[in-house]
Order: sequence, then structure tokens, then C-alpha cells
Amino acid sequence: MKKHLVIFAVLCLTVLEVVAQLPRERSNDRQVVEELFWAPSVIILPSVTQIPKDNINFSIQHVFGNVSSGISELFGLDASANIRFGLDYGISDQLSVGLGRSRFDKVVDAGFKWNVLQQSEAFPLYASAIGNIAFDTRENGYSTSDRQSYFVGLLLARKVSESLSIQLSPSWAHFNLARDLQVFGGGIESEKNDLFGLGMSGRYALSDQVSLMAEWIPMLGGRSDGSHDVVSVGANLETGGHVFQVFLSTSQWITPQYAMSRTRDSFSDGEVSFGFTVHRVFGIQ
Amino acid sequence: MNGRVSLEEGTVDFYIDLETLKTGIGKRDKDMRKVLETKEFPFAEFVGTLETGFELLPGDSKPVRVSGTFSMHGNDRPIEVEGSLVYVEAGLELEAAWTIRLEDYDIEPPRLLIMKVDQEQKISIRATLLPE
Repeated sequence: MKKHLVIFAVLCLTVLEVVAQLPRERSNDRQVVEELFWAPSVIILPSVTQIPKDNINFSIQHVFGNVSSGISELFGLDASANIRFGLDYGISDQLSVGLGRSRFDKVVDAGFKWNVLQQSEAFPLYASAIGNIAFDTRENGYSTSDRQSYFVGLLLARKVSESLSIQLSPSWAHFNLARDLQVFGGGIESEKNDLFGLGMSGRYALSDQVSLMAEWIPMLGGRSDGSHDVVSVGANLETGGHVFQVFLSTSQWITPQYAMSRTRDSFSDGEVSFGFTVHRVFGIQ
Repeated sequence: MNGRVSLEEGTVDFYIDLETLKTGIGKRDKDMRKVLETKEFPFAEFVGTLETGFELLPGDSKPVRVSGTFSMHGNDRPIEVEGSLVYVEAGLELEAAWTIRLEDYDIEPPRLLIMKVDQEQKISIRATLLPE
């Protein structure tokens, strides 16, 4: 009996001690899954990774010439490279806007990414809407309308495990001007005004700093004459403030609608170009 | 951060949900959450007692020493903290700072190639406590 009284007293004291403390309450019970991809883009396509509020992501992308050109062209490094500078700004943790400029066709693009849904314990995947409008700014006599192209897509992504993330990207690209191009040996190849693709991307983390990635954008329905699917493989190196991406891609075009319409190299024929992207994120507060 | 200081009882109790920490750079916040394993250990908390009882009148500012237990990452460590309490119109303004060693809390310092986060990290808090 005495022993029971002692236990009861100890229990009471323990309860009193607990009551004296503030109850521990989570500020936000919604546990959003993060870092599906380490950068706002997979390779050519955007990823669901968002620019946080009041952060700026500066990116420099290079894609060199075809690797199959051999040692005389230093595997494409001597060839004319496409270069894109991009700035993206996080308006909120779910919405960002961006501006970029590519060397090929002097394309200037402005776009947005809106993470409508985020993967959490309550929801199984990310769903993001993306879009851009691009202008060919060359001095070539094109009308304002003919210079414009558009890209709209939906990004559906899931972090399957700590290592593996996958993304599906149904996309639509539209060019106001569909060119007819004369090709060597005669004949005309026609581009299409509208293109539909189903981007498939994946990232596999080998460590906290290194991951592999792959991307394939098969076209649904018609495609521009002489074009091939965009296929890219690469690796990410995460260094804290920077993400370095090195890749091989069939596309020298960086803006997605141009990549969907004008990729003329074939992965199955070993026609790929070496490229790299550097992402750097800044806080502005 | 949530907390309570009872001058009558001489007790101090603070906790913070580590998932709410913001450094101004989202990527750094994510890395910090990963290092601190905030999904498994969401809170950093301090529970202790004022070493000497004292009275604080409106307008007073006094140094204060508190001893107690700081808990983080599933580890509890006894610490002593020096700070100050100021009795302002809104309530009590508290400032305190102390240094921890990451290894004491079983936290692996992030590293990249030859660079590594220092074992010793300074923690500073500044809070206004409203009267109950």
C-alpha cells in the first residue's frame, strides 16, 4: 500500500511538472515534401522545384555542338553554343516569374510557374502550371505576331523515395509562324504551328550532393519535319548556394517550345550535345 | 517561438517549431531542416529556472541567469544562459544568447569538400512576452 502511495505521488508530481510547461504545438502541421529536384529546371523542361518567396534564381545555360563531331571539333565544344541567361523571382512560395534570353534566334522569354498543389502526407503529388511567351528578337523583318511563340504545360511530380523523384509534363507549344525550310538536296521541311508533348523526367540522388537525371519529351501527334524527340541525361552537383548541372541532350535549344519544334538530333543515332547549367539562388531580404 | 517566464515561480519555458525558421534563403532553410531532421525532431526547447528570484518593476532592465535543459534533435543537455529582461509596456522583453556544440546534440555538421560547418554554433533569442 505504501509502495502504491509513493508511485501515485511520483505520478502526480510528474503530471504537475508537465502541466507547468506550455503544450508543444506545431506551427504548421502540413508537412510538404521538398526537394523533388534540386533546381527549377530538370534539363530543358522546368521542374516543380519553386523559387521561394523573395528569392532570385540566376541561371546560366550553355549547350555546345554535337559530340559526334569528334576530336577535331573537340566533341562539339568548338561549335557555336546556345547560351541562355535567366532570372526567376519568387513572388510567393508557390508562384514565381522569370525572364530569359537565349543566343539562338535572340529569343527573349518571360514565364511563370505556379505550384497549385504540393505533395504532403495529405496529397500524393505536386501539380504545377507553367507557361511562357517567347519573342524572336532578330532583325529579320518578321512581324511582331510572327515572332511570338508560347509554351503551356502541367507538371505532375512525385517524390517516390528519398532518392527518386519523377515528373510527367503534358505540354503544348504554339508558334504563330510555322516556317517552311528548304533543305540540302532539295525539298521543303515544314514546321508545325502546334505541338503536343508528354515530358517524362526523373532524378535519382546518389548522395546529398550528387544526383542523376533524365528527360524525354516524346511528341504526341504531329511533329515538325525532320525533328526528333528531346532526350537528355545528366548529373546535378549541389554545393549549397549553387546547383551545377552537366548533361548530354539531343537539343541545342533551351526554351522548351523551340526544343520541341527544332530538335534535329536523334538520341538513337548518338547525336547529342554537351551542355551545362549553373543555378545560383539569392535572398533579397 | 512560444514561451513563458513566471517571475513568481522563477520558471522559464521556451520552444520553437524548427520548421518555421527562416534565414532569407529558401534553399538554406531546406538544408537546415534536413540537417536538424525537423520531421522527426520538430522542436528546440528550453525549460529551466531563474537562478535568483528577483522583482521587476515597470521600466526595469536587469541581467538574468537561467539554468535548465536545452533540448534539440532528441538530445537534452543542461545549460546555463545569461541574458536580460526588460519590463516594457507591452510585457517582458527577453534577450539571451549561448553557444552549443553540434556533437552534443548528435547533429552532423554539413560539409562540402574541404569546407565544414563549425561545431560551435551561437544561438540568440530576442522575444517580447505578453502578460497572461
